[in-house]
Amino acid sequence: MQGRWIIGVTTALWVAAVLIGFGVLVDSASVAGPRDDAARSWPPSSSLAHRGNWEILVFVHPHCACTVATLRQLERAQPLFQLGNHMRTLVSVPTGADANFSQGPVTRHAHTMHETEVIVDIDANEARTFGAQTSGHVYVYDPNGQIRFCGGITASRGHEGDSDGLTAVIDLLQGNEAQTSETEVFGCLLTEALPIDPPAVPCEECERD
Amino acid sequence: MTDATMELTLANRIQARASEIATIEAYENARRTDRMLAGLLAFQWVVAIVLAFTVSPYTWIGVAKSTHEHVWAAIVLGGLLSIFPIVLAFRAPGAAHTRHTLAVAQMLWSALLIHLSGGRIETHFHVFGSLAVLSFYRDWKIMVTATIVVAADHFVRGVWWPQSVFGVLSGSSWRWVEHATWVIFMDFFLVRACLVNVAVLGQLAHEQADAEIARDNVEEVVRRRTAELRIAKNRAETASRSKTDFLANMSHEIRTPMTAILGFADLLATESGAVDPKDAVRTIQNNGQHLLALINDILDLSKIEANKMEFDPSEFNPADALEEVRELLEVRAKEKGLELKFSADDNLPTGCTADATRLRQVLINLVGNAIKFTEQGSVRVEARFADDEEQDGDLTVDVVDTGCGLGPDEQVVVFKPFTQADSSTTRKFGGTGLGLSISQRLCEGMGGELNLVESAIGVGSRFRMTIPLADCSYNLKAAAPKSRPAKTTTEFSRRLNILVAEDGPDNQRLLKFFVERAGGSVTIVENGELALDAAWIARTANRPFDVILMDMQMPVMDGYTATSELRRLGYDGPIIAVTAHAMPHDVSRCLEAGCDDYVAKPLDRLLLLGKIQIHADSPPLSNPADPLQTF
Repeated sequence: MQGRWIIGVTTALWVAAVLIGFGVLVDSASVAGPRDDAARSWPPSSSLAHRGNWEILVFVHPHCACTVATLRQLERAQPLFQLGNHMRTLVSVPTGADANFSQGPVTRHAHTMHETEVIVDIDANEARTFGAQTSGHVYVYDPNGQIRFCGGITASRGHEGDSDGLTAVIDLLQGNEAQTSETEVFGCLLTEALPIDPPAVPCEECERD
Repeated sequence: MTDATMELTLANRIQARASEIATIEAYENARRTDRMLAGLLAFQWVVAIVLAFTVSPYTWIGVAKSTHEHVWAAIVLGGLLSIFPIVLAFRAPGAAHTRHTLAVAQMLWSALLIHLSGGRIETHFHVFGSLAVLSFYRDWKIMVTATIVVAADHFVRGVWWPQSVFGVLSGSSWRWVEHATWVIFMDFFLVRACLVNVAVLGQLAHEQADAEIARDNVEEVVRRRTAELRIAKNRAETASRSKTDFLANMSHEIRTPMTAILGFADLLATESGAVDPKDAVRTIQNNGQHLLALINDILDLSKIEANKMEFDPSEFNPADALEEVRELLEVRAKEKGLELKFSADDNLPTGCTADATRLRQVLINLVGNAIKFTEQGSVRVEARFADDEEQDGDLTVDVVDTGCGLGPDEQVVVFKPFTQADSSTTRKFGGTGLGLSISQRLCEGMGGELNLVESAIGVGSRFRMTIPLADCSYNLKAAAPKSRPAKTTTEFSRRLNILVAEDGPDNQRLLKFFVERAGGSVTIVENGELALDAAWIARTANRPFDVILMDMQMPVMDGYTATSELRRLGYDGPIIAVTAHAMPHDVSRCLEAGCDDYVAKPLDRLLLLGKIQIHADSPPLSNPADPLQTF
């Protein structure tokens, strides 16, 4: 009888510990990274030229494992894009990083993707220009250079599957209106402290366009 | 126990054993599956850690890195999920609590792996793989537990972290049901498989139980039969030894009187002056009588063994039968200085029906034994009668002696044929050792019984004979006329002309001697055909023989045929069968052939002469003079 009592209590404690562990894990994975307001229109200070088509920009940390999920989401979405599927992946190299810092698993994965231009963003200048702070931040500009979506396309850190961000990107590139133009971004920080250039037009105004 | 009851008992035994086998198998299967799942949990833990270290070792802030929470989750949460269930699997294998805990852990491992793999759709198959593994338990309740875990996981995440499972912040509140439904869809088949497996295993258990019990039954039968065979073998060996002993005793019993007979005969033949002739002849007669008694005992026993003993109930007076026995044995008791006392209850019937001859035989044996084995003291015969029906009742006779008595071991075998309390007994007291066995069988044959009531070494014994009597009456003032032996004589009342048909020269000479010494004349022929001719010629010549002594077994024509032929031809003179065929049915056969009377070999001279005289004096075809009395 005493043995059963001990087993019962132990099992209850085990269940409680497991539940707490899962809670902590899921909760931490659901904490979004910091973000700044994105430019409403293509920033003129950017060294990247807007080419008059739909533009998809993805800012990534070269070593952020969670960002691989973002790239995979985009890989699966690319065939669905009807207005153009050209992407530019900007691999942020923080100031002070060594020369090989940009060669991480994320960079390698980006190189394997179709219609994807991998650009090394030295000192994270472009990230600063566009206002990206968290790896996996996606920007979609229309042919007029107007921002149509900015945010993450995973539901949590490194979590593939349905998400509001991915749905919005697919909708836009299929010529439809997106249900949302801004989502939270889950991933590693691109830099430790990223001084932001003031955007030309605050991102909040995207929806008003 | 009836056949139906036996079948029901057998079915219950099979069912109970089948349940036992099924329970053991279920327990062993649970133990095996517990161990297998414990191994799987450990394996998953290792894989998760390797996966975390490989795929997402760090989380980054610019160039600064720290250990990714996936690594900690794999180590800590993975360990939490695995260690406790593994301990249970080895500390309490087979317990329901253990397998439910293992099921919960395995399904949570699916959730953890899905999380660590970034929610990859491929990893979701782990859920269905886990359900399939859990179905190894063949316990549908485990599937319920696993399904509840999956449903609860989706429900809780849907409420607090919807984006972690549905990808959106405001997923449908019922989407967790959709996920759970797919799990239930699979459960449907797995649960069905569990139930079918359990049913099949139950059937197998039943068949195994059936086979085991059949095997046990066969083994039991073999064991029993082996024991029976061993007993039978021992009995056969004992019987063989007993028969060997018996034959040895018989050899002794036969050779002893034969030694006396042949020895004294030799002395008479060669040295007539060395011994008193009368004394020698008396010795030869006594030993001959002893041999005859021995042969009669053996014949009785062989008839009993062959279940061919015949009984001939007739009316008699029990008191008279007792008196005859007393008269017969009183002399022997007096010779030993013993007191022979007979007592009978007043209610003894004066007339009743039973086989008086066999009754006397048994009494003579019992009382004779008592006298034989008693050196001093007395032999008491106590008779009483208990009437259980109107005209029937039981005659009980106790024979009590103050003799040497029997020990416990001897009491067990005292009635067994071919078995004697001690072989030396025969040497000391003589006899065949078959008397009690024959007597008991005779009593049983008459519907009664014979038992040794009590006996103690040095104190004596009490044997009790109980015989049913029928048609009892008290009306006869005097006892029924005793059947006395036929008239005996040493000389005929007139010169009788006797035809002797006998093929044996010695018997021819003996018969010739007997008849001529009694004053008769003898014509001897060697076979039945000559006898037929001689008898018919004499009759035709109007000089018929007064009596024909017909041996029944002769060459050319036997006595039966010759007698039958004579009767068929109208011969009405007396014919007395003289034969060594001494069975009751032989007497009947002789009479049926047409003989008037019967004399058994060896010949009793006085009896033979008496019968010759009677039939010579009787009118033709008179009734025989109780031929069965020769037994």
